[in-house]
Amino acid sequence: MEFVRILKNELIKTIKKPRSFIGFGVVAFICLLLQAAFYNDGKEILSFVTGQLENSLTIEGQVLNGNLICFILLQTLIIQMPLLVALVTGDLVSGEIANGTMRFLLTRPASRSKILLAKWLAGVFYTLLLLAFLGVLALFVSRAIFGADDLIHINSEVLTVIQADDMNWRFVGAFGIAFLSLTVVATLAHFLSTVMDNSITPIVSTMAIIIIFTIIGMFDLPSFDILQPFLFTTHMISWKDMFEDPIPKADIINSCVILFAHIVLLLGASLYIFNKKDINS
Amino acid sequence: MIKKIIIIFLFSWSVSQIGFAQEAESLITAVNKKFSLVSDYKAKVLMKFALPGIRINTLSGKVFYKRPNKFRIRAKGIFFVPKDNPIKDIPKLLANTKSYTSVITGYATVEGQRCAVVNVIPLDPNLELIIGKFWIRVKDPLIYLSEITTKENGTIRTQNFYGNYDKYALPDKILIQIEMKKFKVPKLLAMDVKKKSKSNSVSKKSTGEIYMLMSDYKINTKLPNSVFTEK
Amino acid sequence: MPNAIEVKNITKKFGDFVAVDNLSFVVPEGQIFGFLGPNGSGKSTTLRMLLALITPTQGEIYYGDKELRSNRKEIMSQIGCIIEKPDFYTYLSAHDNLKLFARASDVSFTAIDYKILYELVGLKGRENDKVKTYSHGMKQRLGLAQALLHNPSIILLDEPNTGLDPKGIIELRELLIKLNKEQGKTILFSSHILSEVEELCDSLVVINEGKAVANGSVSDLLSNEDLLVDIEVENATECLQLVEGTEWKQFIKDSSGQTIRFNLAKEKISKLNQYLIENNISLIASSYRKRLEDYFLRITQNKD
Repeated sequence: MEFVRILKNELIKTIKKPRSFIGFGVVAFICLLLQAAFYNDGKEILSFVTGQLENSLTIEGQVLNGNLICFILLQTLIIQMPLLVALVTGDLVSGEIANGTMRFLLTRPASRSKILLAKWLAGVFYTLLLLAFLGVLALFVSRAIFGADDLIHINSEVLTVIQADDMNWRFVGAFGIAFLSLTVVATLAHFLSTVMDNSITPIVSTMAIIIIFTIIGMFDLPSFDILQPFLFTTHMISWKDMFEDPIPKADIINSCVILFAHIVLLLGASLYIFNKKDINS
Repeated sequence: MIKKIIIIFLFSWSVSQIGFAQEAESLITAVNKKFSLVSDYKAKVLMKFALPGIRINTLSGKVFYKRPNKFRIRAKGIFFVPKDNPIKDIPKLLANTKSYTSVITGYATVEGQRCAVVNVIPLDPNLELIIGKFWIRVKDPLIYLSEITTKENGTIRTQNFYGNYDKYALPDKILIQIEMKKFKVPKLLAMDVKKKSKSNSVSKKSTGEIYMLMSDYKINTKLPNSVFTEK
Repeated sequence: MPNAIEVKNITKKFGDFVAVDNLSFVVPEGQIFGFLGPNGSGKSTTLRMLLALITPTQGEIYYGDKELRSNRKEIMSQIGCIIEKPDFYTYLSAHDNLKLFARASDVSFTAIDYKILYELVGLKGRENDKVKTYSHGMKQRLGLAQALLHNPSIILLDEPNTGLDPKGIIELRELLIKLNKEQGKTILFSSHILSEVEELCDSLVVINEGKAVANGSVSDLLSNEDLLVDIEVENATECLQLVEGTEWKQFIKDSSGQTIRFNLAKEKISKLNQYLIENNISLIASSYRKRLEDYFLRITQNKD
């Protein structure tokens, strides 16, 4: 019951904090902006890719549809969503230390571990809300505007046509994996928040780590080959596997295990550091 | 003496060519006669695709055709049809007999049938079509195989398999082969930062195939034009 | 008398810097206890160790017979505190802030309970305003409210007068007396307003450079302390000539302009004033410095 009380407090604080609304505003802006752009210029944008085929084939059906728009919007997961998540979760501990409210919080009869876990869960809940908001805008609003049809999924090797009837469960799976990926980002920002005493540095550091790891993941160099399978950024785009045919289940499970391991390690480190930390401000 | 032999040889060859041309014309006339029996038709179709760089499931739908050049496949979802559609284009091409010359260049056996190989060459060099080659059954003419070569899209090869509707020249199965460039998108554009190549289930050929299984033809039902335009 | 708080040989090092050095003192139960020290003496560090915000490098802290680190949850449920300036969630109202702290302390407050609390600390009518609109003094009052929320038996206050107007200082003094005398709460009270400390506290400890330099009841510590009495006269020369050769001369500390400074016990001030008036010395003013101030300065400066 004590944990439930503490968690309720953390959820209230996280949801009512002004910066929490920034994420929703940005997501809404980007979704609506891209939807408007595709509504006006979608065919021209798509022809950049489908033009290769149109020399010899005619594509029948509604290529530009809500499922494709949702898929494209999900691609932005790697770009803006980590920052928006870190903006809130990177502030959960260090922000309170910098503001001075942490010393009042820790003089309550609740263990530091429970307080930290409650903060982490509040951050994860925020991540879930933000992703659900993206999902509603990206999927349902896109389908309302553009209709729903098969999805043309492109990777560098192959173009796959995924039937519309198959899309819902694939999107559920994709969002599930995306949620796990963003939970890693949230946990990383949360961990850095326990180490640092101001709210900006954890946010910037989280983004720096993501950028560096992404760059390492992009290059096919022998030195990086050893690292790449273990970097969480390598697995952050595993949600795209839900749109392969056949779905590489082993790869997805592997990615989920790596991501989950990151969460456990980072959270464990956070708990250790926070329990030992001197609150000097 | 030698001059006489050469003249006789050339004369005989010319006569034979005229003979081949006349025979080609009669084969095409017979095929056109069968085409003319069909003003329109609709049929069920099951489509399978083997296109390089493209994965797409088997699709079922309906085919609609109306002379001279209305053609539409309606199916749920996204699919691919050849840009130059031989099902629609061949009857239209062959019907306009004054726009081309035709000659038999040989004989071959296709699906156990003895066929004349008829080349159709357009008289207007500015047309998109370069040459059409048709393997037409000699006895009770039907087109079993065709190769249409155009300037922009290369050669489309179509093989017809006939069953119950051969008197209308409507095949039960159609195999269309198209020359294609392999589909490729830069890794960064595809946001493909993780993947090593593993597309071993996708055809590596540069020829794409579309296989159409036709059934339940409904012929000359006076199809409205709206069938070809409505969404 | 049992001890509410017992600090045993606590030391805190930050790297090579020793912030608190083998400090020991006790806070008797039911007293108002002063905790004094100049800036940088280790006061805040000690208070934070008392609240388990900082872990001592060495030593132990007991509340009653319970050691702090092993019984933190139980002990913290009995402590209310203000450490440094009270900080709140400025994007929430005062009431929302208190509800958060009440929930964290597992305290169920009715609307009436909150109303009484706001009246007690002087925030009635402002409880639904966002804390970011509060002045420093109002935040101080809200800090007091959160410290009293769960009816603690021990209250630790770090400079609670800061930012309060004179009325607020008086109200706080009366409140602390009420909490101590009527409800038997133990109060550890740190302030730079030494007159308040001298007025309120039963006993105190003074720390300097991390070490205790004085510890005991206020009356015991100040019993031997003389006062510095400043007498301002119209003619200082005449006054100095008068006292020359009298018993009063030994008490003269120095003189400057029209003011002569004497160092003597409180009960002798009126006798000196009477002597001067009887000898036609025109007195302009007579004042004495707080004893505790003097004592404090003496013991903390001597250690430099």
